[in-house]
Amino acid sequence: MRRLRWFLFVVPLLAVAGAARSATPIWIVPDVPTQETASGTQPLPWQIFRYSSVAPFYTPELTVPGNPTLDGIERMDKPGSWLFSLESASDLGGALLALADPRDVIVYDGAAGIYSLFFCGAAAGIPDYSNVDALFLLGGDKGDLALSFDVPTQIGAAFYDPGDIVLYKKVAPGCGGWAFSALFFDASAAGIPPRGNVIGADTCGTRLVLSLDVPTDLGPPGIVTYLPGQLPAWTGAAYALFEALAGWPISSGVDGLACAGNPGLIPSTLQVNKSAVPGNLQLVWSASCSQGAADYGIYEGVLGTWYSHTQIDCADAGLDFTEEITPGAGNRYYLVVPHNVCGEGSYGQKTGGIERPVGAAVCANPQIVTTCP
Amino acid sequence: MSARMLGLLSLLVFTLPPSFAAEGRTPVWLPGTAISTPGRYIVTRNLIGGAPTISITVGNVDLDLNGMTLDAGGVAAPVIIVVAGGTGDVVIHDGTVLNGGENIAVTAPGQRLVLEDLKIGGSNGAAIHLTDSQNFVVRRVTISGSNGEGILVDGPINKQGTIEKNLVRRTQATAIRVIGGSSLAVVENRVEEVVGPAGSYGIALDNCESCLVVQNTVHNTGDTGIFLRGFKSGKVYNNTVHKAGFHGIFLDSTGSDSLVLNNVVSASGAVLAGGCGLFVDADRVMIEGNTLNANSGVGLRLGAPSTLLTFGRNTARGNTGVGVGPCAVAPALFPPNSCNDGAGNTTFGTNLIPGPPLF
Repeated sequence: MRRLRWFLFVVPLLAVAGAARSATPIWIVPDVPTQETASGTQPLPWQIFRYSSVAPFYTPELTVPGNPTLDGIERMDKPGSWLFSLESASDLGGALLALADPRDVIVYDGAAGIYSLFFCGAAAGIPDYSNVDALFLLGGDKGDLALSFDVPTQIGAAFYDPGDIVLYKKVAPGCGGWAFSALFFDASAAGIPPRGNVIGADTCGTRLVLSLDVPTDLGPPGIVTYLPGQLPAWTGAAYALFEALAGWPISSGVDGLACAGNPGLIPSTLQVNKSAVPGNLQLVWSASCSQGAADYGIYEGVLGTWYSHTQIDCADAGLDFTEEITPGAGNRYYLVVPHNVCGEGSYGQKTGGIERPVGAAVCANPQIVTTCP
Repeated sequence: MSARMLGLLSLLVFTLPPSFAAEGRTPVWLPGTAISTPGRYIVTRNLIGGAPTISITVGNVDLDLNGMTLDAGGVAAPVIIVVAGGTGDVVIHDGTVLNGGENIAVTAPGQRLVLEDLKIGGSNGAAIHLTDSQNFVVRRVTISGSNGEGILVDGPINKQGTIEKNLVRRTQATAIRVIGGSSLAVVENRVEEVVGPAGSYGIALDNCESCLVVQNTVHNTGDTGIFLRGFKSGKVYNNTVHKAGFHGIFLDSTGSDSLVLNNVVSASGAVLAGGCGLFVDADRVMIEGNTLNANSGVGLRLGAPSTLLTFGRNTARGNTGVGVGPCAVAPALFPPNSCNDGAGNTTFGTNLIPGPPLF
């Protein structure tokens, strides 16, 4: 094995047409015990299930102790870690040292197996009549926290509708160290009816994916009624169906919703080896720092013509962090970039900490650059 | 931007009804929905049209209107129709039902029907029409503006039920009418402005056995305030009737063996002169403690068909006595405030009807 060269990567947003792809996997929580008919499982309100649009469709991912009804969920970048909020106060069967309030957000550290408070709603000024109904992070595990509430909620002098999503920014250590930042999603301006209640939300690339509690008419373009189990995505100008959960009963709400998350970046571990196939090269790398990476793309560029890279392979066959390629003629450089259904991660940084630009042709877009957890 | 000033949005908090389809209920969001599978349903938006707007064709259905309005738009069809023949356990609650032929129509025999916490208006026929619901409850329903009855329960099957704490106003026919009942309670209802012609009663029960008519208020009716035909072994007590179009309370000759206690009736005959406060043609009825003043006819009238009535401690003053007589049967009472034409009726005294002491 001969070590040739390695590179790392990332970039600014660049809209390059990508191949059509499934919006799944996504992660969901039902509001009630739900007998789905696609694979015959029964997700419970305290279980996070992974959903894929192909068999086996629904597979359990996390069961929260104490059987609390979960409200919002977020799949963090840190492997095995989750954020979630509760329908009612709970100490998670003793897994928490004190009762968590429905306006709080709890973090589960998957590596340590520990639950703790991530966001303390009372300290952040959320009134006691409000539940955190939907949540997600913007910009990685250290980014802003986006929240939606179950009822019109007063924050400062303003009220926010149950369809609105607001941002909180970390300003100090501890679960109370959050401050209201801005309105992120204005439901009324985005055509959500006054009674519309967002009960699950997450971003997927440039799209905002929503779950609503009841059949809701959304538009533009035109008026489309989205049923529970049909998840619309808002582009900033229009709605489109993001995913329709197979076998999902209309009587159940998708109470918690999380998309693939951030692809992250691979550490500086790329090795280029001689392949057993004459003329081929074997690329070997380590997993992304984020569990949001679902696959990896191989980019090839011409040495001396910097940032000439373009994708030559968008799938890590076997997901073994190893891929064989047939190099182009002349001297070449290679980048490996993690991606998922929502976009691709970092191409690494060049001198000065500046993100490398995206490829001429990309495996996924947009690019989502976040710091590692 | 949905940021709003505190005052305005405080109002919003209290005026927007929730729309949650929680607890596994199936949402109903389209007019014309037919519910054909047992389960729990919740209306998630106002529904207009549909003819009928919602049909229930199966039993074991809980339909939560969720504070929403169902408006049939003035068509001849009902707003909600229940045609769950031979089945039961249908519950409809918590919403507004407007502008149907009949607003809620139960057209097939069934059991265990519950209608609760509804607001009903603009019905072209009966606001609620139950046909042969063997066990039913109509509770806390507010009805106004019906071109037919307010609550109509009919059909050949003997009905058991409770009609309780309803407000019924401005109907063109009888406000609350039950035909064929037993173990039926009509309790604490408020009836107002029965504006229909003769035959438009405040409360009317036909052939009711072991029934209660208790603590109702009836005000301003086109005909008799509380009309009891074939009323047997029942109790009529603590009701208040004012400005009945004809009699205040009437028990016809096919009834018997009941108690009429502590009712207050005044200003009867508001439409048809000669209306009495309490008119009893039935047999073996105990009449006690009623206040029967200022009626067009007499306050207390014991009709010719009546027999073996017992009465005492009633008050009747300021009555006009229009159209009564001959009032000649013993014990001879005292027009214009009281009149006895029945045989074998007995006073046990202390009536405060002008007459001899201890009569």
